[in-house]
Amino acid sequence: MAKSAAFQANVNSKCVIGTEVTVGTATLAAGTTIEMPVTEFSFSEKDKHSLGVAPFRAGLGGMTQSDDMVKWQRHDRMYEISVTFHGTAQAINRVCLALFGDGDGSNALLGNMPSTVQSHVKYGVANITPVTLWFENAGHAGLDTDMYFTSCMCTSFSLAGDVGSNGGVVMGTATFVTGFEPTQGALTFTGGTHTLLTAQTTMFNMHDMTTAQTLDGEDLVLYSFNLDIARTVNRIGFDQGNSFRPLGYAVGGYEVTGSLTCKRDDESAAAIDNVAGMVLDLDTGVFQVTAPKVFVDESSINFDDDGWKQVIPFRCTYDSAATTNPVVTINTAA
Amino acid sequence: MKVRPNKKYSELKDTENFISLGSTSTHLRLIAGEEVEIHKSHLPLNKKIKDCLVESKLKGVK
Repeated sequence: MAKSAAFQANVNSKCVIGTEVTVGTATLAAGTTIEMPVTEFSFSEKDKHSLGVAPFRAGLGGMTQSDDMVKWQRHDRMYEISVTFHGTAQAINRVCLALFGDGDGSNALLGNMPSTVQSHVKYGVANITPVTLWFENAGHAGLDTDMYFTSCMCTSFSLAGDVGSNGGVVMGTATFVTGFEPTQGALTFTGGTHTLLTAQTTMFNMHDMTTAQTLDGEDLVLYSFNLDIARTVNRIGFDQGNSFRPLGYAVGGYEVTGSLTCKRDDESAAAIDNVAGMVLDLDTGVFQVTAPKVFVDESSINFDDDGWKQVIPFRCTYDSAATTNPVVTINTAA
Repeated sequence: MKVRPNKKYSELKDTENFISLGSTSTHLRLIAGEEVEIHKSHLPLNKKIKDCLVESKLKGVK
């Protein structure tokens, strides 16, 4: 065997999210895709598995492990994919669509989500919830061999912005999991609708927050924020004859938390002095994060040289007056 | 444009209702019988959905 000249590098790769039709089948050539404005990504290796090991036998003459006593454990494996990207309107919409089924720009996570479509994900059954994650030239053979993960479920989405970092661009990080073994090979999108990077020119930026940023109606001098939406996704069952693919997924409820870092002043003091749920409103005039029932979770102080900061961790809930009330809304087209 | 659902909305398949348009929140609110503001990205509505909705009129406007 000669040493291979194949290699993979970030510069040769890009990430595309494709809408699926049927669970277990990758995005069709004529499907809908979006090229994500990624800055970083990572994914599990194709031959990811743990090793199942039998217990030691008692007695001399065979205590040490034989090859009968270890097995690749593939029935419960979950591949994880993480992508960090610029917070463009289309990218945020697509991840919200994957996570809670709303991707039209209003992106409202309601108290009664997940919906049936989001929570009943079965192999071989039509469902638009799972996505295909395609990485160009990411196969072991390098150039011209792609790698893609079929029927991925979004488990978390974080938005994070800092006026002093990344040019103020609000960055998104989405994490997906799938129980399906990834494929190394070509997957081409020849028809359908494709949103390219060049079409994504509207970007969430902290420097554009020229309108008031408020918590409980109090104006904050906001340095940074993060908003984290997460849920559990567990695989159900396995099919040994078909690479131990899962028979479906079980999803949990959404947990929405976050944190604000703002100037410590009388406005921030009034904002954190409220035991009832209160309104959070972060607005650029185009992008707007709103949460109607925010509870502060142990605020603290950063003793920085450029002025003390109020750190306000929080948890978002919906107003129990109706389950259709929103927990959080990430509007990308206000 | 604000709308309410009529009885036919709940009979639409998920491939025909607002879930298929990427707006599960609109769908869930309509299923609950609530009045909903339709996001501009969905306008104009296709006939199948439009036939299952009743447009809300502003009170006092003749």
